[in-house]
Amino acid sequence: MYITGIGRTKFGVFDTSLPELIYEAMYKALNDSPIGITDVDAVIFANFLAGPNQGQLHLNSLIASLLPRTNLPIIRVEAACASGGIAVNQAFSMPKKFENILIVGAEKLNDHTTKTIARNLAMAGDALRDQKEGLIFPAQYAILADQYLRKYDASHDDLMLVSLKNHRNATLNPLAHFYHKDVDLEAINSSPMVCSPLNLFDCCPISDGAAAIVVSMIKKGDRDVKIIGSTVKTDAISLSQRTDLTTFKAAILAAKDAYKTANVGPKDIDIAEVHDCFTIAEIIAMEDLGFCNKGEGVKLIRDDETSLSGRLPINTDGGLIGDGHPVGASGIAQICEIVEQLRGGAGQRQVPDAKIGLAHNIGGAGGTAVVHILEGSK
Amino acid sequence: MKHRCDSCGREWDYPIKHCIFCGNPVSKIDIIKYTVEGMTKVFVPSDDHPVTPYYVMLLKDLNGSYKFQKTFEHHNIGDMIYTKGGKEEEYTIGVIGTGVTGKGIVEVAARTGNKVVFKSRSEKSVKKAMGIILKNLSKGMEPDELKIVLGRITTTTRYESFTNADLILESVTEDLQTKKEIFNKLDSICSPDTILASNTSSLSISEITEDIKHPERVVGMHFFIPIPKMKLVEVIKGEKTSDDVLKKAREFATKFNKVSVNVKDTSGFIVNRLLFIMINEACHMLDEGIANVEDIDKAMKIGANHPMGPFELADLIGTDLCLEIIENLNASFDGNKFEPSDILIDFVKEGNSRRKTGRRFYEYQNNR
Repeated sequence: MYITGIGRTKFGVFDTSLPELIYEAMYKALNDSPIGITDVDAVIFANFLAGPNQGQLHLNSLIASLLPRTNLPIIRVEAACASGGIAVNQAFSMPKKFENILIVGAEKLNDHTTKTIARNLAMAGDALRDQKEGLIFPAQYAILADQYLRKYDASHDDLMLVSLKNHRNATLNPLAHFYHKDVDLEAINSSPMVCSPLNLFDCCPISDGAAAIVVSMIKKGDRDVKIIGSTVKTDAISLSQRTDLTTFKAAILAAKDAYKTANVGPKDIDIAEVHDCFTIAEIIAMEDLGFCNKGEGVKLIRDDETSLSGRLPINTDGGLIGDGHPVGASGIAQICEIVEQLRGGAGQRQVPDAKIGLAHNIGGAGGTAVVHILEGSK
Repeated sequence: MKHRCDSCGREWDYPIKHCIFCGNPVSKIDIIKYTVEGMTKVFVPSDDHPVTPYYVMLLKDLNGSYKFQKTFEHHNIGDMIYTKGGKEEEYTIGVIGTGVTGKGIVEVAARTGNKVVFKSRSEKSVKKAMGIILKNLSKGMEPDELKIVLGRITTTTRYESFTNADLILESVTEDLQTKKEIFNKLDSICSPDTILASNTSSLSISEITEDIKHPERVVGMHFFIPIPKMKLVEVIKGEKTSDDVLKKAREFATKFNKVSVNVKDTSGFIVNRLLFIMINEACHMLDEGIANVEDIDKAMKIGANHPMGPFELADLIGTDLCLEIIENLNASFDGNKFEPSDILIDFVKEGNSRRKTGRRFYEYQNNR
């Protein structure tokens, strides 16, 4: 399956409505692709919280309203923060009935108080085991950080380096939530505590935005990027139903399977977009993806190996921390960034000679993991 | 409450009946003992958890399974936690007072699946009370069940242990000043959602709470001795008790497997007002030589279908306590309908009461 076009909105805090965001991303992606809307055979839409946030469901039909008179088959998928990744995998896994598929993900979060948003985002966790006990979303990753920092030779100083790197990358991405924000270690360190040990800069922002890609079963040109691996794995919804709280088993399994399908290994990856909803998540992701051994993720960060000039640049667009995290859009935005890089069109943040990229998208606290491996045409 | 497949060992947190992997029946497991493995302090309020900061503890049970629990108290890594196991153990009940009623309430609350925090002024008295509770509970309970029920009870000497309680039941001496101090203390430290209840049988809820900030959350919950057996709870509305609190108090009574009635804050409420006029009148009759103890008891048991006669009951309650209650009632009502009988006064004056000397009305009469 080939990615023939990409498009996304700026991520941030906007007055724009959810349908408008969706429309803008679809429009840009179709514009970037040789495939027009009339050539599209199906649409897959990814979103997490339009139900509780906007009181809007029946979202596949909402998309149909944005594509009048097409009467296309449209489905909506939801897997919390992995909704976007799931949508791409859905296209990859479909029986090859549809030649061209438009995949779009979007989220509108900033039309409520943060209290309501905190409650709604907590829906990614188990209603009884997590939500009822006050384990809001940042608290889930705070528990992971708590367990990781107890187990390994790591401290909050290491987490701060993740935040610093991703904020720096975001300043090179004009569409990023924090494009204009200069951040230093002092600012990171002195930010307010959210859920100990995580403070504000350990967390991704609450963003609005949308991202879309157009895929085809047939190669359309030299700028197409091929999806050579796409795997979804799951795990129990609550961290309390797992055994090791310093790793995501679903991500390890998804990576293993995706590497196998793509016939590549972790060493072949030139760039990666990993799901850094919190700093600790990036550390865990690097380990789960096999970029380093268990407990050594902090070393990669300390040694600057994952910065733009490092051996394996990670989250070149700023990641969820710097680029923003409009939940349903994120998994697709990651793919957009890998495509930009593999095409050589990433501008100031371009990684030279990137040929194979990996996108790692997580739902909840590791309950869903999606890994995509992409190969450029160059 | 966990559900584990007997054959493949997989576990669910949902009440399923058959294992989807092997089709075998699934057993319920009640886990109550955990160690603190990790925690986060949450500073961000959300709709369902508006009061911050609070902690979410990562707890591990003996089988290595995790669960989360919210708390406002700081715990250390490695602490042992006895916790609510599932839906059936949703509430934390605080109990103050190690007397017969206090112990009875602890027993009933723990038996009906609640977490109980049992407070006394000294380690020694609470330990002694727990010994008696253990003895009472072990009657007719399997060792495994006993372990679970006992695991729900924690003891303390500090009011601070009550900060997270859903309901606190005070059952100390019938002394206005003592109760006032206790409720002032509770009102100042407990979460605003905590319901405070007094098991007073004769004092006014409105008087007990006259100095406190939130009298609307204080209610009377009058249990009857022996508490594990007696099914009634009189739920008393103080002058300022809110309707919501009244409703919740009745829900708690139901949860304790009791039947509740509503009554206004008046001396003696329903049962004592009727009961002690009868006991006192029985004493008057004895004094007047109208009939002997046995016949009065027999007459009421057979003629009025009472399970116990007034003297049997007076002995069970304790004649000293009976006199105290009758005197209180007498002071609260105009006229002399509660004027204590001489025979009761003399009996108590001589230092008699079942609890203190073991002497009963039956023997007293024969020695006169």
